[in-house]
Amino acid sequence: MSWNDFKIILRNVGSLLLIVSLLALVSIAVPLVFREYGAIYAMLVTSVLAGIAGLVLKFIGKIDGEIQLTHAMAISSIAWLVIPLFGSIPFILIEGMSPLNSVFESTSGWTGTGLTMITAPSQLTHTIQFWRSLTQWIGGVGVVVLIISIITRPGTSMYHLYRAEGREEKIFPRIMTTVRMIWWIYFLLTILSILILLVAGMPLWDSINHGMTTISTGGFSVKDSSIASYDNSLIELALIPIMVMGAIPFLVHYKVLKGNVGAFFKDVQSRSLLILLSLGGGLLVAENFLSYGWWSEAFRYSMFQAVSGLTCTGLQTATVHTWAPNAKLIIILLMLIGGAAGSTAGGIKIVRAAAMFTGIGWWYKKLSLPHEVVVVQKFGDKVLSDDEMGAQLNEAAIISFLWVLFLFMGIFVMLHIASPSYYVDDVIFEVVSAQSNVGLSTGITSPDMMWVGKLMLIFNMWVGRLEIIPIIVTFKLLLRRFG
Amino acid sequence: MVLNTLGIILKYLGILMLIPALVGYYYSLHDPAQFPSVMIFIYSFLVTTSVGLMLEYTNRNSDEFRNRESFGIVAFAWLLAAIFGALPFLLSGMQPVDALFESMSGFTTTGATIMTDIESHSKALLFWRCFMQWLGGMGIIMLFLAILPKLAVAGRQLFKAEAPGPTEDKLKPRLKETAKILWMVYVVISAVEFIALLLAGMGVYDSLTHTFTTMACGGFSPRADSIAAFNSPLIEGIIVFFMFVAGANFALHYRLIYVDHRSLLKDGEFKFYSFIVVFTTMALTWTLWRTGTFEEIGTSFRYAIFQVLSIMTTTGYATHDFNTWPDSSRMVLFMLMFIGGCAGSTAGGIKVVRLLLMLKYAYRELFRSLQPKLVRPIRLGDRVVPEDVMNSIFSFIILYILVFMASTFILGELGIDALSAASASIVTLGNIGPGFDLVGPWSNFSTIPDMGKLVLIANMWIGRLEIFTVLVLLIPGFWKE
Repeated sequence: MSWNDFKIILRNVGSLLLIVSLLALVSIAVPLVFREYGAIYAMLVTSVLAGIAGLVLKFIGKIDGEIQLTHAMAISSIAWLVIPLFGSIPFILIEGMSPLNSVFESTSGWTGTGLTMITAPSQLTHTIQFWRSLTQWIGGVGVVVLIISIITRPGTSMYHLYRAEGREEKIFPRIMTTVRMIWWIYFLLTILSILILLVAGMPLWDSINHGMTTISTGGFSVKDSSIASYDNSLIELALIPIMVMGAIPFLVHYKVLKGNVGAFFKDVQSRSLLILLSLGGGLLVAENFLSYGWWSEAFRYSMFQAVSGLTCTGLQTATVHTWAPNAKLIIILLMLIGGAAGSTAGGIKIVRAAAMFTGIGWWYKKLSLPHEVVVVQKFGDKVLSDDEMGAQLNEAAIISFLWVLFLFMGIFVMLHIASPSYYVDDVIFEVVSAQSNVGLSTGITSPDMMWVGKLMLIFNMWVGRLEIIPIIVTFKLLLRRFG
Repeated sequence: MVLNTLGIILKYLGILMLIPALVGYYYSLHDPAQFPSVMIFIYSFLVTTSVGLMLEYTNRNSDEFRNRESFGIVAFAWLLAAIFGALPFLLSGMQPVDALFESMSGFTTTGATIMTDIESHSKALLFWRCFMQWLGGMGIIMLFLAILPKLAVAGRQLFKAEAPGPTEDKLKPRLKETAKILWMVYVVISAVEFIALLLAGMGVYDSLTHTFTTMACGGFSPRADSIAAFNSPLIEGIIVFFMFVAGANFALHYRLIYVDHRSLLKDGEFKFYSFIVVFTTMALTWTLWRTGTFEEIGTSFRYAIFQVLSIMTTTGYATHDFNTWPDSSRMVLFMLMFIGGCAGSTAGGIKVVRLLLMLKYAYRELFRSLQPKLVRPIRLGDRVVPEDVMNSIFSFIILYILVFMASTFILGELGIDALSAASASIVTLGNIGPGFDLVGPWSNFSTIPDMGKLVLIANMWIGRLEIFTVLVLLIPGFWKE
């Protein structure tokens, strides 16, 4: 990597920091409304620091050059590390949290995970509550995507950036228009979510925050024990469609908003999402029936947790820690698969799971039939050639393989750190939850956790948000430069 | 056609049962209490061979072999071998499910046992357990390919359906020759190990049975304490060496001796295999020493290297109760359970070559994600690996994990804790043997409910035949004319 490449990366990371600065500045509205004057200066400091850092980086990296895909990947990997650092400043200044806890909280926010270091979110100032929700709301669609919609640049630079943050689908031929449309849809869905929650009986402030963290499939809550605090089945029922909306690709939302409701059922991902939900949720209900004793109870808690797991939201209504190992296993699998590619959800992504699933069937047919027979393979509504189907299968499998490799790393470290009251399945649950950016917790994540564990989970969240490849590419780049 | 071939295989399997009968007869000369075991094996021989003859003569023979038939033959040959191999256990008074478990664990070289008091059984029965593993190690079908001219006609497909690993090694243009050579190499190395163990001070019976189970990567032992019973570093050293040999490709051993003395060093899979062994041994030695499980680093190394090879080659011997080791060490062993030995060895598991190719593929994908138009074939040694081999590897691994999870899930439903359920699933699927907690090296599988045992039996069968061969039977279209 040459110095010029490095400059291009710095310049763009700088621009991203300016966005953080802007967001912090906008958030000052909240302390003004709630008369939390002490918090104003903290948000100002955050804004100024991020702003200065951004400008300095932009100044250092002042150079003209097209963004290559390599650059884009490095930009998004580095940005997703640096932005949470600046995002942690309000936690330190306002709530007096330790720097590591603040960075953990901030990473969990930006990546849309929802694991938390705060034991009593209801005691927080409104400013911090809103800041947590805002980071999740922006992080859900993506910081890099945000910058694309604001700054226009010609050529393929934008598409590279778009791809480096794990997106690929296009609504319109032009990437700028696509991104702007995504933000519009997102904004609309958020308003809709907030309204639904209001109608279900949630107070206004809670509705705004939960609306933002649910549609972004983030999962932070302003209540101490998440959604369980309300103990209101109507609210739980209202949250389920919001979580599902968050896990559905924007492309499908666009088509449905255009009036083509059938698009929802034609899309492989949204169809599989429904199948997975009924399958996983059904199994979970059966699994939990014995411990809850009532079908209605088992149904209420299991369904909510299944949806929350699969959509990678992480809102919690039950103490998963006490569930049977197999119930945890079901949720672990759902979390691993995650939501649809091109949505706000995390995980390995439904499209890959579907590719593996159809891929195996296809391979099977090929193997058991004589060579002369041509296997016609449909994937969604497309007919794929042998080469294409094979490539799809391989690509999906290799990401899953790397995914599991990084999970093992996390599990290995966390096994040393978790207290003996947590069993192996709890540890696996926690690490999967972090890497898939879910946020469901068995209780291992807490402020008392050893620092190594916090760092490990931060790493897992980071790796999972960017879907691994950009991070390995960045490491390779840096090694080539300095090695 | 399929039934005819299965009949022939059963016929000879019955005849092989006369060998433990002879062993039993020899020991009954000194100890009359051993005599009933002779009769057990004679009865088993009679039943197996007559069923075999019946199948052979009631069904027509034809030369028409297709993919489908060969999958059927291989899958059912292993199932029938396990069922009839269970007769001696059944006649010795075991429950039917237990007997089948023990027999399947034998032929598939798993080494998981439900026997609670091993040394109370007759010499002949314990010999049969180990002998089954030796037969299953190189492959039942492979044995018949080598000795029966009839089968050799359809050789290629049968060979592929049974052979472990994604790539095939053609030593000779004719398959019969290849099978013969592989069996010869197997017999010769076994003989060498037998002599080495004798010289190291093991008795004839122990040497022979342990040779059988080492070379097959099986793991049964006529001793209740497995290899720990001897407590001899020399014997452990010999067994470590031969486990390492048995976990590598046998075609490679042949080339090493007859073709090229440097072929081992040129082989990518062998290098990676050695690397994993060395690396994990070092890691395990270090963690065991650091956590104070063993006081001295030397002792730590002794137990670490034995356990690494025993698990990685899917043998399943134990010299120490590794279930009591710290979690980090157990985690290392747990990951090794998934890898297994090399393709073309007697070991089970996912196989080193698949892991290696997957890593190479991942490495290439990194380049491809940056330059989508890049053409860059994956190489293994001097051969280019076709893309559809990658398809089969990925499908295999995905299915392997799916079967593993399904089995863990079912065991969990039966009330077994998560770690025991997961390790019991992987050690049977990978044909390893002992796992953790409930099924640890110093305990056995007898505490698992019958339903669970059936699942584990299926695991061993599916795992030994590398999934496709068995799962193909589940496709409805497979049975259509």
